[in-house]
Amino acid sequence: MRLKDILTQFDGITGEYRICRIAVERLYLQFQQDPTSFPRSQIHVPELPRTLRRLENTFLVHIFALFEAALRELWANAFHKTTDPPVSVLIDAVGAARKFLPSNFIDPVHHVRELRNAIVHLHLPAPPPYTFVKAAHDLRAYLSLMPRQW
Amino acid sequence: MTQVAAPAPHLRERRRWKAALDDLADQIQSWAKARRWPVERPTVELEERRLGKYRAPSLHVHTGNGALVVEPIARYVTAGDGRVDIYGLLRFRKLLLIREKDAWKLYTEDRIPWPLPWGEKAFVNLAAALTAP
Repeated sequence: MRLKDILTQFDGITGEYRICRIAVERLYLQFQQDPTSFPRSQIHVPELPRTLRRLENTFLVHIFALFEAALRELWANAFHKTTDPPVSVLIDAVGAARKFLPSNFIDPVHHVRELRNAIVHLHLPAPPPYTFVKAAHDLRAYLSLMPRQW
Repeated sequence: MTQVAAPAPHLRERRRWKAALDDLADQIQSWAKARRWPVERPTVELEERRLGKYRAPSLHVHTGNGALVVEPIARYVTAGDGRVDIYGLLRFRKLLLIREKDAWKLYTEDRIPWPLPWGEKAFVNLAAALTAP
């Protein structure tokens, strides 16, 4: 697997997020300007602002899944490990195996992981807010320090 | 009698790290000067969770073949006690200078140890390697 391909997929997801966000925002705006422009059966208006709020979470879960898959593949193929650690351990272990990674690149990834956990497991307390774009940037920054191919 | 409180551990460590970076920049600057390579020394701002914000020296060394940048990255890194990157601006080839137990060691981007121990000879050698066409 090439790092470049993973990062391209990351950029693709970020691009999709932007498209979806703009689309929902415009839809909402259009609805406010002309409530009759959509048949009631197709769109339930109160869902629009909620969709907008949840869009970040949906994409964050999506991009974290890609990040975790890349990390597990890296763990097995680049570092030749046969273990299957939890992702929190994996983040630190890959960081240690790659050597010389600044902590500044590792800490934010844990923050995104905690956020993902809070989204997926609803009973967990929500960590401080973090935008999807910032989360995607932090995961990408961590991955960009990995070998070019594995 | 006035008692002076000892600085907080993170401030002490920040001071030690900045002193190490200053010494390194002085060292490289003197080696460059001996070869009549012009050097600029802009400061860069870094921020680390454990050290807070601080300023540190970076270097732009204008070798005959192209510019070489010496850029501090972080005090806290995995498997080391600090990292400074050295790269050629033209081709963006990079070497990592890692601080390990108060000594600097060179590694390639793939974490392979550079064959020469850190010193003037290694610096001239890497300057040629990083700026080669």
